[in-house]
Amino acid sequence: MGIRRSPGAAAATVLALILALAAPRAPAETPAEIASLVGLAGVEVAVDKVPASIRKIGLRPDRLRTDVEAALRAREVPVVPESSTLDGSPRLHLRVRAESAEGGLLYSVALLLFQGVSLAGSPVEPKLAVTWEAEAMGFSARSSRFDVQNVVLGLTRSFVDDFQTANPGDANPKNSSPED
Amino acid sequence: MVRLIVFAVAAIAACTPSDADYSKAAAVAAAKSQFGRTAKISFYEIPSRGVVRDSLALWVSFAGIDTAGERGLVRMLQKSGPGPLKLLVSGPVPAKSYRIIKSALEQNEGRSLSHVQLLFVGPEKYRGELREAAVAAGVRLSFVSFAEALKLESALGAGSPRGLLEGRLEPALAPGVQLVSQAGDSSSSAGRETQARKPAQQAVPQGEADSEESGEVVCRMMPRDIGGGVIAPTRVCFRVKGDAGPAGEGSELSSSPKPASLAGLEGVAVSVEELKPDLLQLGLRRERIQRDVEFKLRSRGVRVYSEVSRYDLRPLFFLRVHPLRMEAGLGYSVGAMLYQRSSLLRSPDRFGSAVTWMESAVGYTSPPSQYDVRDALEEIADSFADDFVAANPAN
Repeated sequence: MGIRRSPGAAAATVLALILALAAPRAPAETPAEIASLVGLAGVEVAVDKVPASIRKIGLRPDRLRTDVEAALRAREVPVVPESSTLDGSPRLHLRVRAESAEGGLLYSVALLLFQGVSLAGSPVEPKLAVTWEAEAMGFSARSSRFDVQNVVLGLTRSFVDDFQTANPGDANPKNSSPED
Repeated sequence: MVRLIVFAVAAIAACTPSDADYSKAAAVAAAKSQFGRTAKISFYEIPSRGVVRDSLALWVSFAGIDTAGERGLVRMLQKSGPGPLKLLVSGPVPAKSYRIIKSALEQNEGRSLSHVQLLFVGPEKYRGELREAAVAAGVRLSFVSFAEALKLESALGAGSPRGLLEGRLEPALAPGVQLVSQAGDSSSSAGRETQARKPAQQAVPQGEADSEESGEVVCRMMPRDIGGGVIAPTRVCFRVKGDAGPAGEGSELSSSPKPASLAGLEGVAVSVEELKPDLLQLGLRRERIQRDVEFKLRSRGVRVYSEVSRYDLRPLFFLRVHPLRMEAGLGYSVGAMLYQRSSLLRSPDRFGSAVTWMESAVGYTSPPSQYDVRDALEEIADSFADDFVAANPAN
């Protein structure tokens, strides 16, 4: 599988999307990951700090967050407002890494769902843990923000697909935030 | 991890330093002596004007801090002397680390610590103790939400303390303190070779920074014109065992939160995802990677289970590598995660494996070399071992 860097970044984008959709997961964890989405009333969206090279192409955390929230709402996945307490409520984290390479931008994007869990070894003290995750890598010859955004959207779609699989018919736009 | 990361930002008024104080060697020595080798620490953006020209900003990841680092942090706070000292902690603080904050509060009574913002994950009784300690010390203590902490983290990660301070902290700063924005794109300008070997580490412009000893410490020297023809004292930016990412551009939650869930673990099983053809062509072999990682973990005192049949009952340290072939080289992303058996809080009857520790990096190697990829994996394994040992010192 290689990327033939074409004059544009189209090939890279396509490959990135393919990777996004085919993002490998932990061994035999997929059913459990989907199961962890059952009964979710909605998710809060958060974006990790973004590398400077990503900000440089116009992608700041608030923008990425808006993208993810919009993609969730478009598919009727409730987006809940930021909570004021750390109570283990579900939060969808977006994490972007980047590296300059061959005159373009090499990047990886991960979407992680954090939920409060009780570990089997220490059930008393709750922890935050990732119960669903997807990751993709791509290269943008033009260092275009659209390439990265497309991958972010691809991962978000993957989450939505699993969410809807886990919660058929449960989408409830009324639970969305007021801006919805 | 899901890394539960904690950052502390402190503006510290120190006594007037000599030029030597700003040397890289001095900065490294100070970091090592004060915080120990395994503390995840970043010094960053030093405001420099007037009487507080020597202030510095500090981020600390309590998720990985060890006893030496803990002592160092308290010692540093004790030494801070009169003057403005602000401590801002964001990101979840593991319960076990509450004593660090408490010590800082108690031992800075009558000194300069004036304001602490804390996102604390732990029993309510600890919160109460912290509140009492703060009241006794005359320190303003407030607990912030996860979302607020993320915003703070994001602002910090953006490498622009200006935005952070103007938006949130400026009122807390002493008169005369003025932070300046970081110059340049610190995350992308480092050489390819260097970056490829330093995943998840803060990149620093070449010529201004050097890494030492496997990238454990990164220093930065930078004269800065703060306007009016005034050249501010050199800013120092370095971190010890950084990722915790939380530091600097490219550092991770730094990015990703790192759960303090390693405490009490006796060991882990190790597994490596099947390698893609591009990686096999490079000479990489799954078995070799697994053997290297297991050796690395064992050499650091982490017990490695070999009975694969019981993976579902034991913590699993899982590694994966994804290649991306390019014209002249090979891009790759490496990641590691620890799976532990758990149940959802909101649905206790639902059991499964959840990721309680996670780290990843993206790199580029040209000409393609398996050693760059192996180095990246080794760094991640090192990072995990650091956190494991810090969480289980008795092991």
